[in-house]
Amino acid sequence: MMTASLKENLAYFNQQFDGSADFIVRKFQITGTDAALLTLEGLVNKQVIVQGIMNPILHATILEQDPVKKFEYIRDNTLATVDQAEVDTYDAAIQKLMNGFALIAIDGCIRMMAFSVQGFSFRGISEPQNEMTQRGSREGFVEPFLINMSMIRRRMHTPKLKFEIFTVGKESKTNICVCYLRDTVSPEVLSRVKKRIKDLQLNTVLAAGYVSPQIVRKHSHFIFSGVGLSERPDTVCGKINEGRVAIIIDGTPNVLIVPHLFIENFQSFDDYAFRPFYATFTRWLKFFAFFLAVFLPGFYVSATTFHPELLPEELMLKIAQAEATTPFPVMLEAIVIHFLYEIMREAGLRVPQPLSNAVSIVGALVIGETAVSSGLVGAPTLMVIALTATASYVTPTLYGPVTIMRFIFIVVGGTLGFWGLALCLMVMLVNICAEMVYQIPFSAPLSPFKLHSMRDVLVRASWKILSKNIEMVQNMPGSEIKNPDQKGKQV
Amino acid sequence: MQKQYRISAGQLFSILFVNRSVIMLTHNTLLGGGENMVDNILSALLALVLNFVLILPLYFLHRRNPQENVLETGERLVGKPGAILLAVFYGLYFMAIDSYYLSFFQIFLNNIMEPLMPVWLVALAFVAVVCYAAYLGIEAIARTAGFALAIILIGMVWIGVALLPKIQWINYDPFLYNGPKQLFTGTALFLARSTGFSTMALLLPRVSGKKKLKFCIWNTGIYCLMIFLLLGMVGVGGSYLKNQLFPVYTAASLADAGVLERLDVVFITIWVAGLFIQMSTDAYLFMTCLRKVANKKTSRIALPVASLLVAALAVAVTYSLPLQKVFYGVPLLFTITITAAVGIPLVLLIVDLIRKKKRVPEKTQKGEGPA
Repeated sequence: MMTASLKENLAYFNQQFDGSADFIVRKFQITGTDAALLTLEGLVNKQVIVQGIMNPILHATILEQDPVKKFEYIRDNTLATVDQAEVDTYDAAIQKLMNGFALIAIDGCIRMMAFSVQGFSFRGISEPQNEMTQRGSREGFVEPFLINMSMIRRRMHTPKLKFEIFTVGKESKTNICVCYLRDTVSPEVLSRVKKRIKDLQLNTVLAAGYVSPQIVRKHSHFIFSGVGLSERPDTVCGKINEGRVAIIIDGTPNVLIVPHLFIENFQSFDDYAFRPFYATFTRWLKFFAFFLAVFLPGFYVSATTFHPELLPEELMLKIAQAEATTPFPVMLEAIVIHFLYEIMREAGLRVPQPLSNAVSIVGALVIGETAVSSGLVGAPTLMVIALTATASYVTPTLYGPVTIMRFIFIVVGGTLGFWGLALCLMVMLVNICAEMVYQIPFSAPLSPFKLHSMRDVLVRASWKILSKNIEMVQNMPGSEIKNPDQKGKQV
Repeated sequence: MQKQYRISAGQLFSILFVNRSVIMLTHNTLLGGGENMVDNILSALLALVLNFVLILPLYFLHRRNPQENVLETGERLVGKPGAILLAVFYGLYFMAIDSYYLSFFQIFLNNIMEPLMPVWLVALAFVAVVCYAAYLGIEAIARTAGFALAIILIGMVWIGVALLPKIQWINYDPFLYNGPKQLFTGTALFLARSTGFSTMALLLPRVSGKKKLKFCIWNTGIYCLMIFLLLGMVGVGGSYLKNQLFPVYTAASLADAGVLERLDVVFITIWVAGLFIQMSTDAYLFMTCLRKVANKKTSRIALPVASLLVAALAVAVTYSLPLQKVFYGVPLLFTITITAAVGIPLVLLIVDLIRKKKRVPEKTQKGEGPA
């Protein structure tokens, strides 16, 4: 708890910040009573402080002499700020300072006034690079969570939209905001999400990736994640309309969405912006691309190593001709080229912009062209890996698991043959089917199967059909949630 | 109290459909008891009809005790020693069936597909993944069976349709051309190789939904598919298939679709999918049986040990002709399967009826029931 002595309070803050250059204390007097303004440089808007706080206080005619009454008079009659609060503990005061609030302390008053005067710089709203669309909005989330909240609020003009703020991270004390629609979310799912957030044992939370593994389950060996990620406010609004919970983390533009089912990796915002027949075509394109990305290299290695008779004769001859001149087995070639591609990809992410052209030239000419012409690798193998890599980006949310599985399938195909691939496929399927996300099967509604849900899974039905009875995630087949239907029952 | 995992009727019969499709894929004339493969169509029809009769003991037993599986009913009726005996019998039965089907697959790989592939590697790979699936539970297996069912249906229809243009009517011999013996042997083989009823005996209490309707659809559907495939195979292969170890595979390799000059890759995929589901379900049911005699931890530890024994037996059968004669013989398998699927439920049903009849007269004497 704070004390009434301004000197003691300031001594505490000075000890805590230990002379940090961004901790600013401005001492002044309010009709003879000592007072101080505390801020953190870079987090506040000084113009608002001057116009909304300092000028009104310094120019006010305050007749009260008691410090507490003086505090209350200033709070109720003088200031022009909108968002203000009172704090009476050091922890709460420091938390407010860290969030861009300014504090006014008056000698003789145990409380401090906190004013929201954020003025820190942040990246402007722009189209998210990882989730581009052709017909959707060009706005993406940014780092400050308050702005992200406002972007969702602007799209969901309903008082049923609710935000709850938590603080996680012992050192970073990062703000996390849970967002949901009160009449669609399942209370069970919501309470579990809140509990998992409160139970987070982290020192710092600097990205969504810190939180996402622990939001679903503590120990998970599953390949695919049951937590969705989006940088688009329109996508998040669509998800919370289906009973999901969005988790906005301060400092990152990625918003987590739970529960996230496997089939959602093949749905994108553009699916709902185009006509049904084209949207269905692109949906199936994604399924096919996923299949290619995971299985094609393994199938190619298996077919060329163990089962050349499976390939059409002319294709088999061409591949045999190309591979006859290479010194390495096909499996090794596939692994090496795949590995080199991943190196190029990582380099492309981190290379400084002026050097990106040079890296592209090295990748294309040296590794691609020269490796084939020198006979180190076969052209068919290179083409297969290139096609696979391109197909991976059709479903970017699955890139990580697909990459690892691809390596596994290449090794299995090269050592065991086609039956090994089929067995590996079954292992992947059982891994997907075993996962439960907040008591909802991860593989729903494909398995357990629900015909009605196929209107937005295998096809994208027209809006006339989709707008009838929105499918809530807690109503998925196989869901173990009790009382899933929330219509009329508000949280 | 341990959480009871529940599956839907659709999921149970997906598992059973997939399991029975493995029978279809591994069918051959040597085991079928004759050269006229067309007679297997009649065998399939007869097996279809007989299934509706043979299910009755289990059906009535389940109707009287819907919350109990056959082990729990056995424990209630014949006591703990009887339950242990039943658990051991069913556990060994499921493991033996796993060896049976795994050895078929190994023979296929060893003789036809990949002769250089070490058989022990195949066995170890399968038992490892099967143990993993069994540990994940029956719900995971049931959901995976849904995907496997789609793969198998698509694969079988694809093979069947690809075979249609190659059908030659001359390949169809008249039914019962060589007499009725093959009809009965084939029927016995179909019934002997089916673990469906034994699986139901343990899983029915955990199933929700319309079981009767789904049973009828399953029983009719699988045999219709079998008949469709047999018609295609015989029409294409004719007498050539009589000498094939795996005629369905041979037919698939003869089928072509566009640029794909052979469809045996489809055959391998659906076989592996079916075998995985079959073995995983059996492994899970083995753990269920073991929990009757030991605790959960022991059953989880015992599964990999039992799986290694399954692998060892499958490898031994693959290499030993005398063992194959015993193992693949219809009489032994038929006896064990009918005992597990029909005999034990029938005995338990009779005991349950007798015990309940005795209790009613006692109640009447005490004035607690109607005179």
